[in-house]
Amino acid sequence: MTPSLRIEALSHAFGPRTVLENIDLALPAGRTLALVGPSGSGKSTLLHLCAGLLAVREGRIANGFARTAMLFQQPHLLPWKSALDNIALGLKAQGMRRAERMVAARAMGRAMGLDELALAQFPPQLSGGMQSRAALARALVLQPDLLLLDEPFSALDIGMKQQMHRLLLAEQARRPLAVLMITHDVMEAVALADTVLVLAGAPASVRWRLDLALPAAERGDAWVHHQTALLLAQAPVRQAFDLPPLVVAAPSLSEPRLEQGLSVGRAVAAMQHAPRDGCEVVL
Amino acid sequence: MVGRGRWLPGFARYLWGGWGAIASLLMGVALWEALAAVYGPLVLPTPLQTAHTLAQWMGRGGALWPTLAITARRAFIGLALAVLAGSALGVAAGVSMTASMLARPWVTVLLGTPPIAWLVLAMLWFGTGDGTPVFTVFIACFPIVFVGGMQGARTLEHHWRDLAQAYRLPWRMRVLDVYLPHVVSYLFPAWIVALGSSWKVVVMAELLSSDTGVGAMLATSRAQLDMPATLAWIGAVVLILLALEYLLLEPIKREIERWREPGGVSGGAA
Repeated sequence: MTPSLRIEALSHAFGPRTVLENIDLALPAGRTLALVGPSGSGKSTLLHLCAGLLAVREGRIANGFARTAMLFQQPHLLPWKSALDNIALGLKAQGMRRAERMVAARAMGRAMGLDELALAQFPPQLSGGMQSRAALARALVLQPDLLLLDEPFSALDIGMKQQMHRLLLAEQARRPLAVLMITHDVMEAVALADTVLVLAGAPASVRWRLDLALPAAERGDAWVHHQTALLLAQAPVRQAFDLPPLVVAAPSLSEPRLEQGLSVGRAVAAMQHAPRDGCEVVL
Repeated sequence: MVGRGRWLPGFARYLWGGWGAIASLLMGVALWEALAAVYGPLVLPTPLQTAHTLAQWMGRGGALWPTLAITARRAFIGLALAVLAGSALGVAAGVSMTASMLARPWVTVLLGTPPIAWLVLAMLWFGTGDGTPVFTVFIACFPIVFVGGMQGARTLEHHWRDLAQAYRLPWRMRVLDVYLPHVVSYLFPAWIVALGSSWKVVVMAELLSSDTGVGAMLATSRAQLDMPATLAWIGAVVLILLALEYLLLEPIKREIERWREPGGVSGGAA
């Protein structure tokens, strides 16, 4: 049996305010699941629960993956350590010898496009993009089989964002790496994920589900734009993001477009079981 | 973390960068010379006269070094006690919200009470030995260090804890790689400020309570209206403070806070 992350009947409340209610999902090895939703929809709470940074109060999270790594919203590099030492942080925690972990960290830093000079510098001396690369390298050098992404690319410009996406996809092509990402950027979710779940409401629940058959590496810019427009044309998705109703007619899904692997997705009704071979959602 | 090959040229560059500071000080000396010419040696001896007095004491059998040693010993003991107790208790208070709230008014009281008030109490408690200046230095420096430690521990941000947990850092690494560098970056400036005030406070305490040390010598020279001696003692105290600050503490600070510099990997640039 391949490892997976399973979330069953998960609810969470901060004091009297319930932020997540009765969420079920499963993420098998090597797949990418994106949770999109407006700011404050409880996405971050869900990810922090998965990472063990918050204690699960109600429901269950079963993480069957051997190694989980996390990327935070900000790079959060230790400012008093060089980029190289930062990348090696997790390896040091595992007790790897210094010489060994420096070799591994340098190789991963290089793979992320950090040169010798950048690796020797302290984080405050690096640009935002470089810091993000170092943070990604710090996570990937642990050879995780589950990567949790807490909107790590949201502050980057479009070029850097795409570079980070490419680096992530390259790693996924190399070995099975499951990714659970949360983002408020629908286009980013459409570009990377096998399954996109739209999270909304208070307390948050999954409102829409989109399965994308086309492998992420084969998705071009035009395809991502079309697919994003298609998803954002769906009434429940517009509602989730508090968008006004469409003025012009929604883009239709003609036959040739279906062949390109575009999909409108479908609504997720409360308490309806929706098993799939990819990701499974029960609300 | 410290590459020795890089450290020495960095220090040399730092010293070379000191010419500006020296020029500025010499301008002050020139002003002093001018004022001395106007008012005459009874009011203000010239810098040369003062330096001459200082040079005489420096020679063999002179009083300068033994006197400075006594004062330095008192300042150092008081400072060391304040740094140890202040750092430990300050960090401990910062870790606990309740302890911070309890400690705050006391810090205000300690910082606000003039050292001279403590000195009067200390004279009654400890008499004329080392006890009085040491206690006064301790009580003047303790709150400064305490506040530094408390701030450091209080500002230890949430995300460092998350990071430590997400990357499963063992407790030793949490302390040495994450918490300690952060706290020290707050403590170190507090130690430097404490050092400066320890040197000032010890002289004051000696002046009023002791018959040895620089302060006591100042009291004597004042009683004898010996202006060159008075200025020479003041000069000695100021020179030592300058030397400590710029030859010892500032280079150390630059080295351990190299990561704060905005540009380049090379450290020590002035």
